[in-house]
Amino acid sequence: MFRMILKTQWKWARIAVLAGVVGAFAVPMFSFASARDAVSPRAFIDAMQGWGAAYGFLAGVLGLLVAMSAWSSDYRGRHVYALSLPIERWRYVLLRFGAGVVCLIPPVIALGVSAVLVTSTHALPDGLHGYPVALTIRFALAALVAFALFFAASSATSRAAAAVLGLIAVLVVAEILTDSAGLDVGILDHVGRFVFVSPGLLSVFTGRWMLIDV
Amino acid sequence: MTLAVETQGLRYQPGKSFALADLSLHVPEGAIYGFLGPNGAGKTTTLRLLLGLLRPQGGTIRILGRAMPGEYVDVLARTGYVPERPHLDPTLSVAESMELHAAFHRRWDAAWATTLQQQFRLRGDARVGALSKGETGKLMMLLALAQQPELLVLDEPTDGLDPVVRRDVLEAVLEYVSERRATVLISSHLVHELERICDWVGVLDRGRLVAEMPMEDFKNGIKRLLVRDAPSALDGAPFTLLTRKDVPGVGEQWLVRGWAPGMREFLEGVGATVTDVVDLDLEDGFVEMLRSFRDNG
Amino acid sequence: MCDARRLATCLSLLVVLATAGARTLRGQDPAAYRARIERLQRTQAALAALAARQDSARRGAIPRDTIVEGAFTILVDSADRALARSAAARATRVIASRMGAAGVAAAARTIAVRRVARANKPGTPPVVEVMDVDSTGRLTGAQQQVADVDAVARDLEERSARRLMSAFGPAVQRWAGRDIPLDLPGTDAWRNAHIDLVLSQSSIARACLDGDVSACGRALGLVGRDAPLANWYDAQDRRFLVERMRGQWTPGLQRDAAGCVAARLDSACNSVLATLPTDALTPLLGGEGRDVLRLAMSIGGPGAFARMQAAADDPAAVVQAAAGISTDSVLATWHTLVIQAREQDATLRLSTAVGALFCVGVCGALSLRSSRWR
Repeated sequence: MFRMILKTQWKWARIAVLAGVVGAFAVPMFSFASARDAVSPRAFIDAMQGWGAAYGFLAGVLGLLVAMSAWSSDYRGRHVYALSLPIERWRYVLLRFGAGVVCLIPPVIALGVSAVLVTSTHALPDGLHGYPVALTIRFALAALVAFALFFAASSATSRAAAAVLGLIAVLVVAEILTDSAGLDVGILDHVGRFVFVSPGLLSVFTGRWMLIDV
Repeated sequence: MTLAVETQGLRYQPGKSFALADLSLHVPEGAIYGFLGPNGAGKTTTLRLLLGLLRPQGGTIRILGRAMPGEYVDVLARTGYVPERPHLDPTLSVAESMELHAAFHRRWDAAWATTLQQQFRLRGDARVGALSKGETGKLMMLLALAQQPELLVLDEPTDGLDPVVRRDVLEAVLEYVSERRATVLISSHLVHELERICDWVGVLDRGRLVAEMPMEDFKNGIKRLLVRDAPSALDGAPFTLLTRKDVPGVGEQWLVRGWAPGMREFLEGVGATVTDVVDLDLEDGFVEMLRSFRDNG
Repeated sequence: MCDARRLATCLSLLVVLATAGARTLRGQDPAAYRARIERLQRTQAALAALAARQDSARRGAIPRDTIVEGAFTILVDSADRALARSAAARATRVIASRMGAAGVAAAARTIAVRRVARANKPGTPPVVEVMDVDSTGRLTGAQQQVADVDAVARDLEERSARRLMSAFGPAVQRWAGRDIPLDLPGTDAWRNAHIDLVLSQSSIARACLDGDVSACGRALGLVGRDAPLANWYDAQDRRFLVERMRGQWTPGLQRDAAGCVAARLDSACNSVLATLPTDALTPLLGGEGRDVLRLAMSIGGPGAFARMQAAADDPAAVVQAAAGISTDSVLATWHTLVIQAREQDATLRLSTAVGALFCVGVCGALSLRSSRWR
């Protein structure tokens, strides 16, 4: 059962996954190539950091595409086929989720291999250290978070999507009202910190993505 | 009589414009049950409720002896479903669709699936999205049959198909039913099609069940009568008077349900004379029945 | 409105401007010159009168009660006596624990704490003004604080830290900053020092990172402050510095900068870099010197301050006196702490990973609970 789900998932997502493999292999290579001629450790770090956003971006896009592919077929058939299968629905969702997660593995491995190659085959500037494993784990987590997020959004009904949008609208309106009332509550600020500052739900995307760091 | 499908007081109202109200269906085991109704009557909604694709807002459903939607896994494992619109992934090939379907159905008959594939002339490597409407219909029927269901739920399975494909599909269904003694619940607005294959019929209109009876009763029980000296009131009649209208020089033309030859005597007892009895075909009867139902609110 | 201090500044500025203006007026009509001077003198007199009135008003508002608590003599209104006493006791405890009795004695001073009357919004806390009282009774250094013990005690500690540092000579003050550190060094300090050492442009700093304690002394400015450029950077470092700051040089320095980078002329590099202030050339971003002093004081215990007072106006000597052991030993300890504090998980913190997994769990649960799949 899972094999067939995986097979269909692979068929739908293979282009995104293969592109992800190429991208994930390339980013550590390019980041190191851009930094290798740096005149000092600081310049080296600056050059590496310039590529940091690429890891988060790649993980986000990969998660999005795999999640979209996981549900696109069911969407086309209005979920009728999936709902008429003799299997508990939570199990079906788990199978789809699991198949998507498996599809994320090749790019993660590609990034890990590339990162290990870069850090093990080149001399690093004094005082700097390579973090290929930490970077790979972080990339895997970011891709997984993006996938889970978009997977949940795709599997939700339009009513649920409207509820989420409504919640955001309420927060914005509350921010405006408290602001105009002279109350320094900073609702959006708190929400932003809750989401993007470690250990926030999406904090894995923010901060420094460094293959080589102090 | 054991029932393959039974609903009691089924209610569902997705919006303001439409509601299924107190629907009580009874599909006998082994029957081919035609579910008739005009477009928008609620047939597809009813079938989706039966299969657990929608959640009822009231009433009970039992399919193959199991309560729905609670026991949907067991019910869906024993039920083949061909929906009104294609629901298969268009990016998969025919062979891949069969492989995927087989993975979820333990009673999948691979040999028979291959036979049906040849019989329907479906190429294994053809992409589902590239199939014609008729081929898609055949593939959906193939999938539903090869899982060897005890109950086949077919939602307008031949709608839009050309006559040749339609005959292929219906023949496959009839062959399956005759071999496996399965129950078939088939919805359609094509009355003639059901007339030939169904032994029970249920008529749905505007979310309400208008009639449910054996096909023989439906076909034979609706007559058009020419009546002379018809009484204005008709109390205690052994049949149901659906409509009446004046025919100048002849008397009145009546449409009745539940007519039997012995009932002439009842009319003569109230001073009327039946001058002619005309058998209505199923479609005329269906139309007249709906008209009567709507006139009576 | 200006307070007395600001008014004094305004007056000085006015006098400078008047003097400068007088210079530019030289050679003008003497009558006009005299009239302008007289006008300026009248303005000066009016401003001085205003400052005097304000100072008088402030003196008139000096709280009436006097309490003595630990290192502090505090002028305070009766309503805030408890607050002032608790804050002073707490600040004195902190000073005593770090600096001992000598520190408490050196920190002794008179303070005024006065409630600020203002139209507060509902729900905002009351505020007090904390001020130094000098020997003439003048109030200076006013700072507004929330009227709670923590805030006022912190204010008193900061004033004391500045006062304690004023006991040292200019060389130590330049090196360690304007106040003496009262808090204990933490892991963040060592971690930041590590990053600074790694990313420094200076080969001396990198040698320090590799464990050369004498290089650490130079990088931290404990020794060799008289020739910073030569002390902190070798020829290659200097060339990299000039190249890195390319585009920031004035047109007059561009030729030397080009000679430094392209022709690798060390003299050209030196002449370009010599135009920069010493602070801009420090190999570490700053703060490390204070952290070393913190470390030395924590090694030396409460007697550290008394020993430091006796030391010469030399950072190395003060560090040695504070710790009670040699400067090299302090630096070796500092280096060990810095290396140990290296952030191992900069790329992925455990909390981030936990947050991510939690997010995946939440999304998974939401998917399963979607009404479509129930």
